[in-house]
Amino acid sequence: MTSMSAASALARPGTAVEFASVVKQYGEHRALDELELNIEPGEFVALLGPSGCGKTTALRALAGLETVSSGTVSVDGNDISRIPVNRRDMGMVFQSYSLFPHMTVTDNVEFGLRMRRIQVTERRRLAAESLELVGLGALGGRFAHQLSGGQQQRVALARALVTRPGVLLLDEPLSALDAKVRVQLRDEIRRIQQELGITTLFVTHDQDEALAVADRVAVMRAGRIEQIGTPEQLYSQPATTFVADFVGQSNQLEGIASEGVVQVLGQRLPTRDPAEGHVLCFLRPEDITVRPANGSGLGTVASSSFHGSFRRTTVLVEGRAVVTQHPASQSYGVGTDVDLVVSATEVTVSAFPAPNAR
Amino acid sequence: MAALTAPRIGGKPSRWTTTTILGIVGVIFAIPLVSMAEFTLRSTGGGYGFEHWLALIDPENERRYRMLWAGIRNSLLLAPSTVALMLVLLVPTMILVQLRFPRLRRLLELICLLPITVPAIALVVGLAPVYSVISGVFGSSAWTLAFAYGILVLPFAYRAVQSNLQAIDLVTLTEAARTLGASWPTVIIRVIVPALRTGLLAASVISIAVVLGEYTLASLLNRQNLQTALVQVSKSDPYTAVILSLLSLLFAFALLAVIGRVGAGRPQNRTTS
Ligand SMILES: Nc1ncnc2c1ncn2[C@@H]1O[C@H](COP(=O)(O)OP(=O)(O)O)[C@@H](O)[C@H]1O
Ligand SMILES: [Mg+2]
Repeated sequence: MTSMSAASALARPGTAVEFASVVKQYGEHRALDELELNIEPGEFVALLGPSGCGKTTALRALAGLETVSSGTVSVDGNDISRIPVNRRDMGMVFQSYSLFPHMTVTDNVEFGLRMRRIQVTERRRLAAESLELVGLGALGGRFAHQLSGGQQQRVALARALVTRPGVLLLDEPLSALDAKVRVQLRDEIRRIQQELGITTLFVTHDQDEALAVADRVAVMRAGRIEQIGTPEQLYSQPATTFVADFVGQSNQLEGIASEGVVQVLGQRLPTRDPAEGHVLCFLRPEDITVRPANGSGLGTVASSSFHGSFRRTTVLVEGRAVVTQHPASQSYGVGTDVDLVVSATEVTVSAFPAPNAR
Repeated sequence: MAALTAPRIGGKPSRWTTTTILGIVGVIFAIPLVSMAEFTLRSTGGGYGFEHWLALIDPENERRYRMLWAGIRNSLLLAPSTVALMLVLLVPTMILVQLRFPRLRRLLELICLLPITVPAIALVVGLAPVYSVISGVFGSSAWTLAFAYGILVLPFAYRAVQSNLQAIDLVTLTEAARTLGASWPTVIIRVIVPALRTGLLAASVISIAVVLGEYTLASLLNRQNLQTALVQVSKSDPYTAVILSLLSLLFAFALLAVIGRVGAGRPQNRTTS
């Protein structure tokens, strides 16, 4: 659909972004608490965290829509604190629909070019190119109220990209859309970002979204980055229990640790955590499989659901529900006695009871 | 395409029902208008003719109608002055409150709706000393009544603008424009005002209608406007008074039609996906 020439015409060397000890104080409340974050040129970073952890505040501080209380935000090494919003050269897509209601799609997309006093013919060409990039080449004459939610966000994306900004900022742009459109547009945002090589900060509270599109995911909590890493790193080596709990699905099970080994579900597994005694273990469903009981069995099947290539079976072990995963070819009826096999190479644990178990 | 923009109303009333209801309402509204028209066409000697209408524009009667024309002139001057005052004071305040001081919204609403609850006579008592100051500063030319009328139109203008403000997400639109490189003046001219066009027009038109129909304040503050002049004239010349009432009614209807057109012209921004 999109021509590569359009993409290469828009492409430009990436821009680096740095948050250094950024604090944003709202009265008593610290929305950003000495936030540290480095984004490489051309990198796609997802800012992931629960609602209210300061993601939007961080994004708005970078855009210039919010002043910071202390610390510096820099772009390509230059402190941008004193540059007003309209000179920051950043494209932003908002969570709520933000198209100008009195303008056509084309006029909306041309807005940023008008502000930069680009000549009419050039403006038309760039706007058409940008609309083409988001797959809406044919809808230039429409108004926002004649578009679906997904189309409106595409136009907003085209409008943000048309000026070839150094940084693209996306604040939960997909949260108002229904599931199918959300996945489609999410993948498309990634494709466009790769084509343009534009430095991108994508805010979301949806871990699937973050893991699916980002080069690196920064998990945020209470105004700080808890861990930043590739999706694989976050998933397999969560640095804290908060991350383990927030990224992907986890079972939280009681275990006993000593000297780098933790005993859980009747098995001994390695852990890097120096904790001793009673601990809380985080185990992914795919690290636990079910086996027909040998004798009385470890637990009883409570429920089982089909997910295409695999099944998730919940097993009750001493009154606690343990979610397991196994090939769809096997199936266990409710009430069946079963054994569990844990295959995790390393277990994330926290002191028991966990201070931040949710 | 049509399905995309058509309002989805479950079970429209039938054409026959619609026609009947509109017909009845139309007749009810038409009766006084037709009666007025009939009255103005009665000739003094019996039968019908345009005698009274022609008398109105007859140069020979100029003296007789001088006060009437002065009243009309004053009202036509007051209408735009009031609208200008409203646009210059109320609208920026509302925009500022919406963007920067959302906590003051309730208070502003209360203040703006207050004039509705104050009887005109109480308003005059309060305004009389104010006007002695205003006369000292601006003189006592007709347009100064616009200060008082600005208060009168406040509730109507506020509602008109506010309903438009509620239909759009002004904060996000403004921020979007800012991130796209617009300076504050540009944001106001290219984004805020056009996005509020419907509300501003409705507020202006309704203000004009209020000003043209105002009698109490002008009368109690000893000013001349269309309505006070009409009352004066009607004492000696009922025909002329009715002709002008008829014309001003038709004018008000035309204004309301304009509001309707503007309101229906373009559906507001949809806020659901
Ligand atoms: N303008 C504001 N005034 C006061 N508190 C605010 C303001 N904006 C955000 N906050 C607070 O800052 C915290 C972080 O907000 P936000 O960045 O919007 O969170 P997120 O986007 O991660 O959901 C929240 O606790 C919120 O209540
Ligand atoms: Mg947010």
